[in-house]
Amino acid sequence: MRITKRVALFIGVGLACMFYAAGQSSHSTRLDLFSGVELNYRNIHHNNRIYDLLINLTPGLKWHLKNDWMVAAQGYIPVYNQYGDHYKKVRLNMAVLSKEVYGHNQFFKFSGGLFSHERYGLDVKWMFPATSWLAFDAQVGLTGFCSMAVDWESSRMERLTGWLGTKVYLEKYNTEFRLRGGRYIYEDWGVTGECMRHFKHCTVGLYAQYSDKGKENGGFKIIMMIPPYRRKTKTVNFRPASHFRLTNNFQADPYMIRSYHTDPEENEREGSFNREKLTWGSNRMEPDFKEGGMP
Amino acid sequence: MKRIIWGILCCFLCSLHSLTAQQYTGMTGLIHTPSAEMNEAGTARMGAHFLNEAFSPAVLDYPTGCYYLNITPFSWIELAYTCTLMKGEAAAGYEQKVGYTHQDRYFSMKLRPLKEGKWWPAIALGTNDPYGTTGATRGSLFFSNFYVAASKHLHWKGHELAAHVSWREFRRSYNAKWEGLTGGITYRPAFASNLRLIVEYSGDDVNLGVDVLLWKHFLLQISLQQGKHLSGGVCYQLNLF
Repeated sequence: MRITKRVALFIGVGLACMFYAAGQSSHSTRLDLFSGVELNYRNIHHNNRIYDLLINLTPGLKWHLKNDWMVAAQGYIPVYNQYGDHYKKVRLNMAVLSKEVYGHNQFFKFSGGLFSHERYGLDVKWMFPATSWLAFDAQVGLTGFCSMAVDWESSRMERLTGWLGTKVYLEKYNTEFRLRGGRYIYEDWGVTGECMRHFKHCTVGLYAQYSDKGKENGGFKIIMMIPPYRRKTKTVNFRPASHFRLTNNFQADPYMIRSYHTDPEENEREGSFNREKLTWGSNRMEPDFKEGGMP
Repeated sequence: MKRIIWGILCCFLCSLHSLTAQQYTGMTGLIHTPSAEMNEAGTARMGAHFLNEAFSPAVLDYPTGCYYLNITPFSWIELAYTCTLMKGEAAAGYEQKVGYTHQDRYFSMKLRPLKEGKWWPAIALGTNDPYGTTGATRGSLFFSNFYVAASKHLHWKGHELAAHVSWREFRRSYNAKWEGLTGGITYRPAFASNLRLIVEYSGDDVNLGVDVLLWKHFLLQISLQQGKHLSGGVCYQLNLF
């Protein structure tokens, strides 16, 4: 389907909100310009190759505005593509306006715009740290398909997805357990159990999943924070992306229990909320990135 | 000339870090057989290994290679993910070539419920390739086995001598010759504690090997199976803490 008036209206409202948020800002704003690398690999076709590779550069920006507003965007620049023509274009992957709200030990993040996994729409994340070791979290989104890979294609924003979960954090061991279940972007219902240990500048996790469509699955995740770990914060900052992420999906199922991201640097180690406000879980560890020049 | 060779050897053997490896799986152990030794908590490894055809399950009747990731998140558990290259034909619609374009993937896990004490050995339980994902029989399970292992180390004036015994059960007939009681002896000299000499009985054959940790991060292992079949590999290891 070609771009609809609905998507154009959505983008227009998003831009208006962005300029409103920018107008609310003053000296406390900060602009981060960064780039990372995304490595995609698959081993599912017997096509005379061990792996099909797709390597994208992921330049992006985060404009931290006053009152916990943020504008974020990320592009894809394919540098090596064995996945096919659908992935060959330089394109926008994310363009999101978000606002974090805190109060009474409740943390919310409201987001709107173009999310990852070719979804656009509205999203709310919630987290409630009940104790120093137990927390509950959830996410609800109303999204549609939106892709700029071939042409600008979209569908109506009418798919409701979301999950509800709980997290247990053992601070002595920097180890976290997560359990969450819900409905995901390819309309499957599923549950995921995950265990991860946070090391200095690196997190390693194992997960197991079950969904009504994909059945059982599992794998591992490695999240490596990218140096330099001492950074000087200015109004405009040029830096590498915060992390490199490697995941393994044992069944090589690309559609099972998939969620979109609303932040180009969202990951399991850093979470979705400002670590200075949410002092729970791995946010209680020494920060990966400290203020200052090279040691 | 002898001085130069001796100097080069001393440079190679200068690190004081301990090491252990059943390295073709990425896990700690001897050469082909497991042990109850564990890596230090936080150790991560990534590496590759050449496997002589005599080293592999009978169904892989050609020399091949593997690569792996390994992590020891706690001192009592070790995990690895290993991919072994296999020869195979392309699917319909692709140019028909036979090459190392398929691979077998498996996880390994080792748990150590009993840490080594002064008078008793360490005891570990482990498995390689425990779970299959494809086909009616839930996969090929080429390397699938379960084991219980015991290891005891003796120290004398900086030298280390260790005895290792294990019992293995394989799930497929490809590996039947390696079933049952296995074990070996390792020796780490005082003058080069990053070097380990290994003699093992893998259930069917006697293997000799050596592994050495270079520059604190590169672990090399070379082995001779039945005194004639060469296998070996290298991995990069670091501690994430």
